[in-house]
Amino acid sequence: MNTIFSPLYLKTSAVIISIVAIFSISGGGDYEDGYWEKQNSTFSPEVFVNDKSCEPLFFSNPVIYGYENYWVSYSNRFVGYQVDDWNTYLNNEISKEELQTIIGSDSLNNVLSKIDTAIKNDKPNSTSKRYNLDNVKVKEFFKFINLAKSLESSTNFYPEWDYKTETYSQSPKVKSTELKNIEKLYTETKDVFLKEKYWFLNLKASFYSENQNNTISFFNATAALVSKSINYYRALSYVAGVNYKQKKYALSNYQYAVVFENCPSLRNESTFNFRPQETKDFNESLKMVKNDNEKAALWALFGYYADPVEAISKIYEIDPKNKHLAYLLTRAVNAEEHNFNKTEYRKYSSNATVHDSKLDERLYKLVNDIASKKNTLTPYMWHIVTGYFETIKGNYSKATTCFNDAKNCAPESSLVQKQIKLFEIFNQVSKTKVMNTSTENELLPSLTWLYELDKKSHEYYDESIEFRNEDAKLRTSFLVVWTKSYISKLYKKQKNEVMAELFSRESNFYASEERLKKMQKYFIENKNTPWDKFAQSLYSVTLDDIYEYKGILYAYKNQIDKAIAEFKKCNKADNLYGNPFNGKIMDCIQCDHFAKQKTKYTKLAFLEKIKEIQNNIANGVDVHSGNILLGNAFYNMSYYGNARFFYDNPIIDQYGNYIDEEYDGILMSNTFAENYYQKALSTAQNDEEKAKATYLLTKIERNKFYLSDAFKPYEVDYIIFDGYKKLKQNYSNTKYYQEVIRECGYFSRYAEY
Amino acid sequence: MRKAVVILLFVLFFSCSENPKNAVSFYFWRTEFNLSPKEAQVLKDNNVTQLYVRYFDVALQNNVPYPVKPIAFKSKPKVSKIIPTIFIKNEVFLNQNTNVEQLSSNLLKLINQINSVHKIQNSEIQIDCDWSLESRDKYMQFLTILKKKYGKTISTTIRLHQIKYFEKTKVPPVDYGVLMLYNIGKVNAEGKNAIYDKEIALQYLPYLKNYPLQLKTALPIFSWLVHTRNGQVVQIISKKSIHDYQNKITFESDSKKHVVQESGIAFGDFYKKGDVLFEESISVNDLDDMKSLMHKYSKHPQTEFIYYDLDEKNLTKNKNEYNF
Repeated sequence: MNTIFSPLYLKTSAVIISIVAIFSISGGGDYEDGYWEKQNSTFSPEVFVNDKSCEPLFFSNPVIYGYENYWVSYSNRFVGYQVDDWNTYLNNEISKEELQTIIGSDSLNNVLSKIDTAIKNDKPNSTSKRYNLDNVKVKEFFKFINLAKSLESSTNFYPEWDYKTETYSQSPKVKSTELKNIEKLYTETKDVFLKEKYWFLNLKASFYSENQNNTISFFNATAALVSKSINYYRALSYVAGVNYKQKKYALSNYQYAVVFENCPSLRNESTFNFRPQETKDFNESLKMVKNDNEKAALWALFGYYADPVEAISKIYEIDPKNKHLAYLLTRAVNAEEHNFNKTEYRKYSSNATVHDSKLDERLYKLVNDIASKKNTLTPYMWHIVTGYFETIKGNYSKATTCFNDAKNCAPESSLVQKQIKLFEIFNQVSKTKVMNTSTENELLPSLTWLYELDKKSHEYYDESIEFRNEDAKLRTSFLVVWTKSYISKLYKKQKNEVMAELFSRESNFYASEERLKKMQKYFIENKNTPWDKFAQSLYSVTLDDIYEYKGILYAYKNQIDKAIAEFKKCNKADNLYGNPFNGKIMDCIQCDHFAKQKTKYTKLAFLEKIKEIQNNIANGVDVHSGNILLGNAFYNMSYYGNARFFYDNPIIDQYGNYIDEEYDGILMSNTFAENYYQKALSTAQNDEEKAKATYLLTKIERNKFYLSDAFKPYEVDYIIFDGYKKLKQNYSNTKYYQEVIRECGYFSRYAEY
Repeated sequence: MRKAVVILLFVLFFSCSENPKNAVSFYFWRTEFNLSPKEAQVLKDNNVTQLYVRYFDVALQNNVPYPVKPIAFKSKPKVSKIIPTIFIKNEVFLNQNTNVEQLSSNLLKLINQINSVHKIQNSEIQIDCDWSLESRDKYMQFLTILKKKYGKTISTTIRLHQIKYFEKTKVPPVDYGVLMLYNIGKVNAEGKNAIYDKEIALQYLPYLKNYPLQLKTALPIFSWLVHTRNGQVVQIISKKSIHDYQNKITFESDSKKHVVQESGIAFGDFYKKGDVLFEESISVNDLDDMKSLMHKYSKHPQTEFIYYDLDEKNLTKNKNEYNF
């Protein structure tokens, strides 16, 4: 079987695509935050529902939860079952590996056709001799598999660049004569195993035939004789499909519900194919049920698409111990979380909020009611959800009672216990309205545990390990962000800006000198309480970063003494990557970084050297060359230079090609460099020196142009700078001029014009 | 009802004679070609001579481009010119393995097959693809090859953002483009029109003066319902009006906003009590507005407006005063 174009795959994928459009209500319809289920949720469905067949149906923004894993194994998911079945029947006459190749791929089709010839002509050939065709079962297997494969041009989907005017569909239909042939084989076969195989084959072939009605009539006539295996429910799904096509929606949906209820491996397909057109279709389906389980299954499907709260209430009425209740409750709670939990993504610390007013009262009352009766299969789950909702409603002591009730009847599974603890922490933090030593001490162990758990679950995010690391199934991210946001807000309310910042970093905190001073003071006091240490561990800026930040800002104001003083307090000593006093014709930062460099400069050493040159100039020593060096230094410190690393600092936090607006006036300005180059020009002794200063000034003229409105990409991207004109007019006789022509294509284009 | 149709036809005819400069044409976007009497009448009354008919889509199947749902002609279109229009999903050109040489041959072969079966002749093909920066080069290469192989007119659809950022998105190497002046805003749960938003259109239209390719304009006559829940968009419902829900779902309606009164299922979808459906449609004023904006901003004279799409469902309701 060509598994990639497996018809079920395509059929179902088409259904799933339509569900994305039609039933995205189950995902809340917000396409933008695809990973909401981990981000805005604390309630993990895996903790409560340990049934793989339900997992893809957990509430999720993409239609299928755990989407990728689901698809990888989708199209060949029945191959293993067929292989086992045949291997047992054949008493291992053909190994499982070989059966896997024969059934699950096309690679042995030529072998199969040679065996087919041998069987039909009753004349063994070299290929058929490799198998024991004297064994009737082996022979029957090959007859069956050859027949099944011969139908694949109809049952599988092979797209083509061809206009099939006969059917306007992509594959030819199975002929009625072929159906009769299969039915004959079914009728004549006495072997029970084979009979069932031909039975299923006939139904599958009928579904893809010119006589789809045969699917229903043959099934109705024979189904009672067949065991309720996977094949039975696959066949019933085909029948349901035909009924749907014939607009018998109530019957079709009822049949899908039967499949959903009885065949876990087809639970996803039956869910995705279930689709009442109108309310009356669903009501009619309800009338068709033969027992309470079927009725509950219909409501479970209704709960998936439409209203989980209504579904829970109906199923609970039918049977409080019904297995679908737990799964539906996870969907209902996750859907609610999607409504009341919000995360606003921000540069340093996201802001998470819980909107209590959005909690669905109907769900709250229902869960409360069911929890109090303690008669479901998983009473602890209902206590946990009740507790969760009580916290949201501000009933903190009620919540505590619920969690205690849960603990009294919960299994010892560490996941369940940890899930309860997550909600206890949510309750504990929610009821904290003031931050003081006492509340801080109370919260410390809980938060330490939570953040540690969160860290660990991220460490193990590798998918292959995830399954081994059970904790990764817990959802901690939202609670981590929310606790930090919440505590930060409490501190802010108490005007404790420092602690507010430690818990939730704001992007413009250091823009205020007053706040900067407060933070600096806090760090200098070196508070050592466990709570302070904990808060500091959450924060990404240190006292050294603050000194460095101040030093950098002084340097860009050319207040070098003040800058040096700050840098001296800072215990960071990173080297700049290139020589910051170089002034090359071409701005090639990388080249400067790789160039050999005798003296390495730390940021402090760089500033001290600047100071030294400034002093020399003040004393009239090396005035021209000193001004060139200072111009280079300020140029290199800027966005354009080789010492951009100078502004590398977690508070400034600017790197790469894009500079935030608040910093572009500082980092993209060449004002000081320009002043020094001007002074160099005015103190130049000869044309060589003048040419150099003129050219270096032109680099600044160029930088200004590209920032100005005069620069229009694709329209005006080349102008002749004034500096170039001066250079050509006045200094074309210099060596430096020739160097510029050699190195700078932009200028040479003008010079040679 | 009969009266409404008469008014519709009268106004169409009238408006058509009043504004003879702009030819009227339509997209036909269903998979079966069969015109209702009303659709046929609209073609006749507006002297429509060309129809842009969706022949098939092209999408990836197992990473190889294949046609999706080729058109079936149940009747022969009574217009003098049919322009096969092919929608190609962007994924086709995003896929590294797509062979554009092969794709152009396959595409022409299938178009010819459809033409010969239905005895249709044509001298133009239109390609509809919302290409992105990542797929741009492959798409442009495809168009160059297609144009060379076909030898006759090739046109493509153009989105507004491709006008403004044409240096980046590139200009298709074809004979002319069709600017799609719809689906301009973001579909939202606030009831704000996403089909046509003048404010947004005005942010883009001034760039038309720099756009090198000659353009025709496609205008919307469709409407849709935006289904929302808890302030979030659930789905867009096309080709249905609020009246289709009669006896199925009850609403409390305020102009174009309809609030579900009782949960229920209709047309295979679930509507929860409290859900809101917003009607979004295009008025005559909108269309007039769009046309005059195009006359104002386009540097090439506008000679033809193509309406999306020819469907009885877009020609009923209160739109009997459409000014095609």
